[in-house]
Amino acid sequence: MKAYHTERGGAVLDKKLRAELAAAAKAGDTAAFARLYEQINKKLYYWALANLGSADDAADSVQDAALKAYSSISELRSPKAFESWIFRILVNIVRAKQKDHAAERENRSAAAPAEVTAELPFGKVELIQGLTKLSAEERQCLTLYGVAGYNSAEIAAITGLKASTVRSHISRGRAKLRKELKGSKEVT
Amino acid sequence: MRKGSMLKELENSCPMPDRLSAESIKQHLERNTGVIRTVYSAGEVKLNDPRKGLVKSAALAAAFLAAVAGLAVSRLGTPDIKTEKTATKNKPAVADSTGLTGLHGASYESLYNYLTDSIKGTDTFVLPDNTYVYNLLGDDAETSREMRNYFEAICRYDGESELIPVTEGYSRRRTRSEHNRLGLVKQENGKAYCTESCGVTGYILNEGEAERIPFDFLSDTFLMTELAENWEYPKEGTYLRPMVVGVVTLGDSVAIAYDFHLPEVINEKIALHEYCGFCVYDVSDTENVKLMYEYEQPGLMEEFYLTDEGRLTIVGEYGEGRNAARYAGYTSGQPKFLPEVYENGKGSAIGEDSIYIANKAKSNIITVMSSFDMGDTEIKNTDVIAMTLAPTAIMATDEHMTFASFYSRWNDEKNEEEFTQHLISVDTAEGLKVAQANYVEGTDLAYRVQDFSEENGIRYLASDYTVIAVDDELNMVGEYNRSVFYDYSKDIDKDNMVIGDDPNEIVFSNIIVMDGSTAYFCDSTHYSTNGENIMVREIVDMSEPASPKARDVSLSPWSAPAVTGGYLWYDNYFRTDDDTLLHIDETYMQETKLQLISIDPDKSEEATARYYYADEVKTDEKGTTCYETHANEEYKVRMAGVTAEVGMGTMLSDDPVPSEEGYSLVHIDSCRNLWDISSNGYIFLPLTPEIQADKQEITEKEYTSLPLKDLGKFGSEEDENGDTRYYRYENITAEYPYLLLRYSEDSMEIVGKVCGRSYEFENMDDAYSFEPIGCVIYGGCIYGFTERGCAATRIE
Repeated sequence: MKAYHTERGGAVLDKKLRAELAAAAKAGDTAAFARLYEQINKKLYYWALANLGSADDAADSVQDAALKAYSSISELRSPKAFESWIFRILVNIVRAKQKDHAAERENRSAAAPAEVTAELPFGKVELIQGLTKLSAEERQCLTLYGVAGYNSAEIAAITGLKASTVRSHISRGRAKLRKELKGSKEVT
Repeated sequence: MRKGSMLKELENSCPMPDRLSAESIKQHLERNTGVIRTVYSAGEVKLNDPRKGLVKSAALAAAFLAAVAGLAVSRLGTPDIKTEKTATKNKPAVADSTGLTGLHGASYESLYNYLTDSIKGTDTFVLPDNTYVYNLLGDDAETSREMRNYFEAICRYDGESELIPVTEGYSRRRTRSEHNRLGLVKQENGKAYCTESCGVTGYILNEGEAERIPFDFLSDTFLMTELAENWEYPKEGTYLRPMVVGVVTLGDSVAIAYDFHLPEVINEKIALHEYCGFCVYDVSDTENVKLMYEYEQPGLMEEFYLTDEGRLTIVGEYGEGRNAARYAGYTSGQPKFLPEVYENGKGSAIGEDSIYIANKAKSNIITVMSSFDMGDTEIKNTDVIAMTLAPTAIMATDEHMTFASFYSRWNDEKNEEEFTQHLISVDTAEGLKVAQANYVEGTDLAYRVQDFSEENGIRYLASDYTVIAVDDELNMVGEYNRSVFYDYSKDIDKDNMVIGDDPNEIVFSNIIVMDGSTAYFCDSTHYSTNGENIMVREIVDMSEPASPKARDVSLSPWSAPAVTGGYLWYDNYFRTDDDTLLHIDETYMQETKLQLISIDPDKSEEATARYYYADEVKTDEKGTTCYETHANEEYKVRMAGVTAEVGMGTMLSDDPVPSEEGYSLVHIDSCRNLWDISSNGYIFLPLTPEIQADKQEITEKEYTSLPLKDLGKFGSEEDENGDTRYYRYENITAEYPYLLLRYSEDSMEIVGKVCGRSYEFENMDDAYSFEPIGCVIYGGCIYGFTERGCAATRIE
């Protein structure tokens, strides 16, 4: 029931303040927008990083998402929705980037298949390495849960997936990640 | 894995680029858009834009930040405790001629006018057609759960209502007997009833065996046989079922409560009327289960309150009236904007003399209440009322329900926002009677009421940092605003801030707990190393509401009950019984602990808090950013008492304790009420499914060309050379074990892992996807239920 909705973590803004900032941001106040954005920028960035595996791509995506969110903030229905709303924008941007990357890999593969290697830009980061072994959907759901701190109903609303599918992706992703991290630990 | 637990690992490994800081993003926006230039600094705002209201909002925001820095924490600095003078106000409201301040009787026509007027100047939102309908011929057996989740999401994002029933009582004194409370699983007389997505499964329990009662609950209800038959589906082949929200047992009977949406096509538009209801079955003869009673009313269920005396009150929130009014008009005289209630299949309109309109309400939400006499042999509905309210809290006792609705407006003259709570009290002990209504003006009892108590005829309503006291006529007779805050205003250095980075502390939220006339103002804090804590900052005695007395606002130890209110806002705290909570303390790559936390006032712990702030940022030779820290002085606080703790091994590690493989707890959805994770001193914690499958290798091309619907039958794995291989899975079987713990007041131990039978699946998604329900104890055995069935074991 709605009684169990969870306050999200992070350095929280009071709801009243958040509502006021959202109203100001809707009128074009960049500082107010920045204050709202500040509450979530780390989640946005690290979620994008976990899904794209590239710091530059992740930063570009977050920047694009912020710009897009700001330019369309009049569509924001409720101040409470700011976080999930900007996350939805970012998810779409990241998905588009992943598609582009997949197409690039396919082209490279067709041209010179022998040169294709796994891209692990953060070789020292076990977690990111492990996440690359998950399917895109598993990674998105698991990181929306593990990095951004959403529950399955919220992730369903953000990704457009069914909540049961989200739970399945989280469970599978977690099982795979556990296996991956265990393996990497044994290697080292 | 705790939600958000990966964040710290990523933060430690890969610093966020400067270009994503709030200031950089602000500059980025200003470069790329035509914008107002605004400067925020600590406590000071400069605005170039003349848009008055927004300037005020932003100014208020910044002023608010500066004034109560501890509430909207933006930076860790040298902390100390700040006290401010407390002001008490007493502003009795004036009743209008009806005797119900701000609430008056209505007719269908005036309700129609209210609803259509409320459209003006507000956002409207219509659920997209078909969104809620799923085809059962596909793989979706969770129709209503999805619908519910979707609806909840809409509610949350649409911002129409954030109702918080505080009825269930965070305080022990208000806890009702368990059998009256809706739950996911209930047992009585050796029969258990499990709430599943769209129905209820009954079991006969016997010596560790759970035999299904051969009856399809709900199938013979008016809801399913008539209403469902008449639902007009946007497309052929669709099917809709109710969402069961819980069950209660009544001796050899069981009451099942549910929500559903009733689609109605009006002028070629579809209106999705929210409904809720309940039915009661006589299960004394499991071979011949009989439907005893059934009732449906508009609105999704927000409260189901059954007293020991057999008086049931249900409350629903109905939000489709505005759309229905817009679609239908009011030319036929039929109030489609206030649908009928159904008692045992007989429909009737809510009488005009039972409709109330709140003067200041602007929302389209209609709160519908029904009352029932739950006799042993006969159940009957005695009253129904409808009020145009969007309450932010319902406070229920055996005698009455109090609704709190929040309104705010900007006062141009005073240059500040003003707040009003509209309080309405409905007597419920013998039916429904709107007894009192009143405004409480000018308090900061803002968006939500967190807790509620009643003592000596005074009702206390508490939000994050304000308590108001009202008498039995709902006149405000006292108010207290929190005056002690954790002060972050010094040495603000945003650039060095690292959320959750040891040893910094973050205040997540402010919590207030009422225990009779005593208010406990607390902070929920987070340490990266110590998890979450609840710290009591200020205690106020409001037994004389007009002159509240702050007790001991010094830094000395406080004698306080451990707080409970805030815990329900966190996912990893679960109520185990009236006196204890279970905390799953799970942090990435750290020891996972299960903690038993007492909420008995005598069990709170004296603790020492030592605060730190980041002093200097350095980069070591490996390029890792680290923080030189400076320790500030210690001070004493009271914390919730951890009375027992069990180690679970390191999360995601191959070094688990105590078993060889460790225990991987399943993700528990915070949206569910998991009261039922414990029973009679035992705790039931579902574990990750154990899945076996045969696999057959396929090519990457085959894998990537698979249709989406088949993906659950396939997967990828890495071989010993690091190459990805693709497989088709066959003969998939899964077991759904759970971890059983035994606990008492001050001890907790793992009994062991309980396994049930194995289930077969056609794809991996189905095997991984399941919902825990809860556990019951009967006849010396504990039965743990999931949507996949039951696993039982004998206990001592």
